Amino acid sequence: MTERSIDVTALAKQAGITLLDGEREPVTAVVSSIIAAFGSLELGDTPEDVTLDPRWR
Amino acid sequence: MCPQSRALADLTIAEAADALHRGELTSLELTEAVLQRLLETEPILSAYTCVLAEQALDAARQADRHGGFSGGLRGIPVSLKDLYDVAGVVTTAGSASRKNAVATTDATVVARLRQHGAVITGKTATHEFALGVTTPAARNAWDPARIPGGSSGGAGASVAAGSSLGAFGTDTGCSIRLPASLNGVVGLKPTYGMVGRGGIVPLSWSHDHAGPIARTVADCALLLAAVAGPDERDPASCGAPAPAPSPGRWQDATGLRIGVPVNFFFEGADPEIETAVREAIGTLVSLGAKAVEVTVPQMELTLPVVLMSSLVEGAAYHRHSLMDGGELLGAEVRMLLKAGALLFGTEYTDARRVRTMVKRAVRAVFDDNELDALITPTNPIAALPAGQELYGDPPQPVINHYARLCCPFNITGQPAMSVPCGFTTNGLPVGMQIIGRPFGEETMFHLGHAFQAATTWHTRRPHLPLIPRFVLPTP
Repeated sequence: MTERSIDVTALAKQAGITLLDGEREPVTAVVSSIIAAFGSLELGDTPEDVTLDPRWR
Repeated sequence: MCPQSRALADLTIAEAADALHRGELTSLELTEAVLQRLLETEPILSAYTCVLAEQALDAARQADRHGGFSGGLRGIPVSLKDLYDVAGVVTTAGSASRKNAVATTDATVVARLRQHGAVITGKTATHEFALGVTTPAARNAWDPARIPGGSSGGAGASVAAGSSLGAFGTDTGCSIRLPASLNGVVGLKPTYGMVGRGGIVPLSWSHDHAGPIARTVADCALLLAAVAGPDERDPASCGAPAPAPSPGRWQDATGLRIGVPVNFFFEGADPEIETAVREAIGTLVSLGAKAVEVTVPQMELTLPVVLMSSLVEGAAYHRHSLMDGGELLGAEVRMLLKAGALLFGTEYTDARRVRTMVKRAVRAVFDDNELDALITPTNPIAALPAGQELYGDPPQPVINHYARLCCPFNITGQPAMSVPCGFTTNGLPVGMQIIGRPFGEETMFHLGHAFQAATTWHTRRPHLPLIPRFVLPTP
């Protein structure tokens, strides 16, 4: 598996967003921590929850 | 107790409605008393961002002229989190970026409150765009050196202080239940879709819920009954009605099965909070409930799912502002939303796949154990000092602690309610979370009201120093 690195400066440029002074480090930390939380998940064939319907049917 | 023997601002909604119905009290007297309490407590709490005093007094006079105090909310002073649109009033969402955002129409909830004759006292403080749990502008009613929680922090503090008898907030990960818990009042996140969100500034469409905060479970039932129902402005509105408020039928817990988690929910909790919640469970058992130990899987995944959705969906809502630099946003929220704009579609979709897993897992726990409700602490730690951003060893952002036990039920969409169940030794409130089946609000009200009928935690009031001279924040 290719090791993943997050370059928020490049991503921000692609998104048309300017990172202000002091934002690069905390934005990197938030993006990296959330990606890490999902990175190792085994979701199998679990489908996306598209309905948001709370009823248990 | 005769309401005149207590400060009018300390009445519950049910008590005030009863006194209005019997002609012992006018809405004008009640509203003036609440506005007086507001004048006395705002220098300490800053619970309000905007006070609609003249409009409130006019609405109270109209309620008195109209009469017909046959229950419900006619003549009752209620506040709104400053995410709800009130026609002609700025909806700041707690942000300098919206200082000129005057609403042209009422939010659906506001329109329903007016139809029921409620008196709108003003708008309460929120963490900026509801993206946080501390509400820095406001303070805790039990210790003004501490946070009121968030994001509906002003709403929780206001109800505890008596500067409104009831309030409406929003809850994306904990934002009704947490401030209710930290301020010693009741907060209800109804089933997803039961209360329309038309005219409420969104954070995350997938997880946003609107709901009430009040001093008692019975009052929350009254408030919910007034505002639930279809909302053509909200695509998630399901049109389901709320249960009829029936506290006379909610006197004990006989026959109800409550699940008590053996994993996740008590891990890392302050021992005083764990003790208070376990004693509350004991009270419910003494009232006839059957307690069942359960394991609730997948819970560690829920906070990342709610954070992912809040940041990505929030970034979508604020995209143009972010592309313009976002300089009118506060530094914390601007940074978080920018992070949301840079997350990947694959992870966002995985978060929605995890939603499916979590919903299936929680449903299985309820079905396999034939549960009517689950009981947990609302939050693992009491109110922290204002300004504290990290907690624990290793230190983590306070949102990781405060949203941890509430946010699973924003994912599942189940109703969840915080009910006061004790105090720490330094006088800070403790909340018990009651989680019901989807559209199981009546069972939750049943358990919560029976608990409050058997205990006195909800009757305690904070002792705030009262400062009589204050200039109201007006629209």
